[in-house]
Amino acid sequence: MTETLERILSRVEKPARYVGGEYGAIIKDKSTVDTRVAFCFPDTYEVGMSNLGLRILYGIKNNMEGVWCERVFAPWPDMEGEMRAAGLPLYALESGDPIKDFELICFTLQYEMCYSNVLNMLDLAGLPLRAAERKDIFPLVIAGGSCAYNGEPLAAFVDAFVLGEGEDMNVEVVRCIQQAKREGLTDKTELLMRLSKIPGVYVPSFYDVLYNEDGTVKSITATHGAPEHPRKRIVTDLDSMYFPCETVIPSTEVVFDRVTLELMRGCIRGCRFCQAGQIYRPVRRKSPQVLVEQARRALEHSGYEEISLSSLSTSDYKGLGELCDGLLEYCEPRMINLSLPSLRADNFSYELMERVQKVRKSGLTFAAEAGSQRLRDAINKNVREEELANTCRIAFEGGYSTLKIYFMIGLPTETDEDVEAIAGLSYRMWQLAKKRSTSGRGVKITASVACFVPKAFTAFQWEAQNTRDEFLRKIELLRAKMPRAINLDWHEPSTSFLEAVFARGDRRLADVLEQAWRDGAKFDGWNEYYDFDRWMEAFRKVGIDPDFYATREHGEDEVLPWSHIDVGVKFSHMLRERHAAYRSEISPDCRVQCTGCGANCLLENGVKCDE
Amino acid sequence: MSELRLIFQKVGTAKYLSQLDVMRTFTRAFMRAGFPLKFSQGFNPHPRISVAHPLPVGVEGYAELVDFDTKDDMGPDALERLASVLPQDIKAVKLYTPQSSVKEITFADYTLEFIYDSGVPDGILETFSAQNIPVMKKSKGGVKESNLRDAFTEIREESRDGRSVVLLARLDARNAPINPRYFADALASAGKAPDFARYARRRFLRADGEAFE
Repeated sequence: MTETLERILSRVEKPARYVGGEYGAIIKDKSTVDTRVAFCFPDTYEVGMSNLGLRILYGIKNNMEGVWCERVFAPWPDMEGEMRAAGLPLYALESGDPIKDFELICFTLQYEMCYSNVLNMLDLAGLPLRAAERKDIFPLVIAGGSCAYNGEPLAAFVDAFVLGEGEDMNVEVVRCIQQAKREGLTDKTELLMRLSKIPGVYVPSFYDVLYNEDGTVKSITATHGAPEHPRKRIVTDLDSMYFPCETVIPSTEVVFDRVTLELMRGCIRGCRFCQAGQIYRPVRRKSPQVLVEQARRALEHSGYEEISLSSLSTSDYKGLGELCDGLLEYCEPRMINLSLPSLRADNFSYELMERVQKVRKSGLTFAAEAGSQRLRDAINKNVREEELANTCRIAFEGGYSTLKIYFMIGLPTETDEDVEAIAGLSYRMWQLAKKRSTSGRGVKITASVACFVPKAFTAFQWEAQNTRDEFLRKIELLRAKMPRAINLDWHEPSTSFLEAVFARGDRRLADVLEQAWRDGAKFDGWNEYYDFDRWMEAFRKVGIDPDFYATREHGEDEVLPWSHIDVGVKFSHMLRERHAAYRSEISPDCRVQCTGCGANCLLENGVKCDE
Repeated sequence: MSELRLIFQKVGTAKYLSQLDVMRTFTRAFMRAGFPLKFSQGFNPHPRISVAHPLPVGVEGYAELVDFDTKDDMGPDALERLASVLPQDIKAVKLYTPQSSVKEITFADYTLEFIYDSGVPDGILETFSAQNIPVMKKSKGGVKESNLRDAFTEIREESRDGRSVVLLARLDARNAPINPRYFADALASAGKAPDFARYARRRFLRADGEAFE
């Protein structure tokens, strides 16, 4: 730690997040390292250190000979101000070295609202924002994560995107960069051409995009020998895949401070609004035996007092009973808490609840998504009110006292009756909870309402988002109908609007991003920094209409900015699902009947989904 | 069951950890080291761990104390096991069954390093020899004036070079401990505001002036 840094740290909030030194952080002898990698999480330390993907890729890259991967988070604005004033460039936590001297800078893109932080971090590192202006071969800037599937708004800033699961692909990418470094290669285009040969790598500058007069995309053409349809990577066998049993254990508080055990990837459900449910297909799972062993090792290494099971739909994990038995056998005598988020209301069982609450009891959350059965069918959220009621009854009889139900407004085909039905459903759950409660502490029901954001690679990728006024009208409608006994939370529609713009954005949005960043945009995912007016002003300044991206219905025959990206699930499947939604028709889950989405083509020959 | 005491150092990067961070870090480090911690009873059982006289964020500690309860024997090489699972700048110094209560801690010795970019001004030590050294002390009830002279029993210069001076102060540890940054505040009031300061607690002492363990 330099005195410059020490002086700065004496003036900022929560300085512990800027110094590293945690148990499990990897320190390497620089004389054995020729490839320095910065793993950048474009949000705070507390958020980034809660991310399992970061720990996986950190471990994998540091297992490579000659490679040192370090962590970098977005400094909070007080720290950023101090760093700029002192001329201290963005540095990596482990070594304290400036990342502009590294060979590779990787960003993970978990949500659209972090884009302004990506720009800010590049600038704070002392690098030109735009890829075309970074003439030197190193550092190369790469981005992955779920937003990279339609990373077009960041295309001008990033040298390459990595699509899909990073376990194998990152090793190949880092090897390629290490090789170039060892050869003394200086031609950046040559390096990008080599990278574009690695399956899953997408080099946006190798694709020419032409536009129609109405602003829609006319064509996307591959150049430089890059693949016409870059295809996402997956890991076929999760049991043999790397899992970070030994990882960095933060000393200071982070958002999710516990072992995260990933049960499976993909989801058998086909909720039509859900991007994760599509882009993580095909469904693959780990075996309970492997999970119990990894959990035991991760808990022993970390000393954590909590373990959380993670997947898109935990109750769909085959072997959940066996897994919970195995975990509790280890956890209970050690007072380790087992938490199970992402349970579905339909197959929630008393037995499961009894097991998880053996150690400690926490609140329950369930996603109903829509208030009426008609709309739940349209979005293919195959859960019935009887099942929700059953869950609610079991939970409150079993001693739970709080329940949070998630809903969305602005879903395709939604009517005012559907919005009002949210109040009705919440009220019936409250009545039931009150009658059945055994906790003796009263019951608390919260209805949490989000604004629907149409996402790329879903059945609803063509849909118009509701306007802000329409969302506000629906929220008022709901507030008027919602009984006082229920807590009603809702999301600010202006945030969802910007999210929708970037979720379906094209590369022309680069100018808006840069303008907004110049006008001070950062930490847009944080209420205290998100400034809707600043963004609208940026759109005006560069002459781009945000409604074109968010509230416009996209034509089914339109070339979408992400049409050339292959995520496995086919557009023809998404289109079939969209039409089924308009008939309020449900589709079966993958276990009942395969709907032919196409994701199974990513598996090796002879391997079936969900085996 | 037995009660144990650990002497540890909290230096370098670890000086930025808060009291809660230190508690969290030790809870997990004890688990990693396989210590059979004793948990409290109740709705949310937690291990019985207490850190004596929490240090403010940014202050180093060279002989800090943490007391905890275990339900079984610790096994051999417990200190080594613990030392190997601690964060970079937390060092385990000594592990033993305490013979005295932390209530017997009466004084704490601190080093106060004041850095002046354009040279150390004269009269640093003299600032602290006045009978009344008013400082504005922040507490839950708001800001009020307090006499810093009541907070320490001795102060002397330990070393100096061109740009920094290190003082050694013996602070009264019986009442609510005073944040050592009030010494810099006092210098600022005397027109000698340092450009930067570093603080470290060196040791705890008993009423008779002997080192506390």
